[in-house]
Amino acid sequence: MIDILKYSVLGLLVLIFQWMLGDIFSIYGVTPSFLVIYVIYVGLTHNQLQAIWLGFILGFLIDSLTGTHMVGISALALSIVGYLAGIFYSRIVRIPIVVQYLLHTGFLLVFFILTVMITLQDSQWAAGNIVFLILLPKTIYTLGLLSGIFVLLRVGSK
Amino acid sequence: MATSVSPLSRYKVPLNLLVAIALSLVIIGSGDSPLVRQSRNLILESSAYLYVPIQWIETLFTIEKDYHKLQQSYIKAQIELNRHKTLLQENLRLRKMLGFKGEQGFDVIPANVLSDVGSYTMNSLTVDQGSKDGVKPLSGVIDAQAQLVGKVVAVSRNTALVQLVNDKNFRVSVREMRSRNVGILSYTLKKGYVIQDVPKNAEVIAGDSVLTSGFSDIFPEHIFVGWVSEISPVIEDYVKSIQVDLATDFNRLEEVFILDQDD
Repeated sequence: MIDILKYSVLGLLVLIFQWMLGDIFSIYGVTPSFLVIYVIYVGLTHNQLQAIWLGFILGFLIDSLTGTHMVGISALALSIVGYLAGIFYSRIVRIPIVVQYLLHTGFLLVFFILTVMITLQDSQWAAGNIVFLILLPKTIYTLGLLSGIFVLLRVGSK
Repeated sequence: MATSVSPLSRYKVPLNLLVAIALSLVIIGSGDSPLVRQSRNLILESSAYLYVPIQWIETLFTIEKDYHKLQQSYIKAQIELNRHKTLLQENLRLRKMLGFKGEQGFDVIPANVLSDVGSYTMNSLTVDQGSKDGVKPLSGVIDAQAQLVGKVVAVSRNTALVQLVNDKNFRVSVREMRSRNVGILSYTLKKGYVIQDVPKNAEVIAGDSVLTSGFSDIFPEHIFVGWVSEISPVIEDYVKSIQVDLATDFNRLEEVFILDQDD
């Protein structure tokens, strides 16, 4: 119970950080998603069920705060990512490092494909532009941060 | 002794995922329903409190500087206003002589910017005025220099969410002031902010002003939008497109004014 509370409070702090300070990390308009990093972290190290529901709630909150016209899309994407990350709960350390990175990339791609591709499908942007100017830069940028954060957490725990 | 696991606990996680997906799809499908709107407003309202201490500290440091700046602007504006009053009187007299109808008036509701968000789906900001202050959805929003900022897309009791003019999906009817041509200003990936399908013989040069046309219920006419930055070559021999630099500095927005149009 205390664990659920701890991870929920931490999730809210990540949400506030993403919402209030996320733009500081923007490079040429590409902003990373700290929420997806957090949900992946919870899924991999804590509990699959909690990752699903934490992803759902945090997704719904960020959709409401950012004013997207498709409220619920981040909730959908983050709960799926939470589920996928939870499959590898406690097993991730036994997987070769290259495969670990591929898995992280896969989780991020699932999230950004769902959020970016679907929300921008009716816009004037061509699919190629969405992929090369938004989807891939966001995935690579977030993957870089995710790797850095995970390395720091590993060093910290040792 | 082998322990039997009930099928329900075996499929607990996939079932939870299915429930979460179903709920998300219901929320996506009912984006405009009162329940989703109410919960969204509640979240917006609660989030506004996070900005109160930050704003208070910011105000402490900037209040004196802002006061002197405002004083100067006020004097300049007062002189300009006197000149405009004379011109307006003359204009009204001439319009009356020609038999024109009167223009629609509006009031403004001043609001402080609580937060601005540039997400991949929408550039928006939250302001500290809501339905109790008379803010209505789809009201136009301008800055202190009467330059176009955006429009209100969601209103809660104490806050409102404003879609910015630099959002990818924002459209506004504008008039180029030299040629008097009217067009829709929109964002395109290659050229930025563009007025498309302008007649090829329209006399437009870089630096010309672009103002709202007044051909919408949201924005009255004469709100400054920006300047012509570049004119694209004539396409298919009959139209050209005009690139526009927006006037509003979105990084420095602290106060905005919500237009409350007379019914």
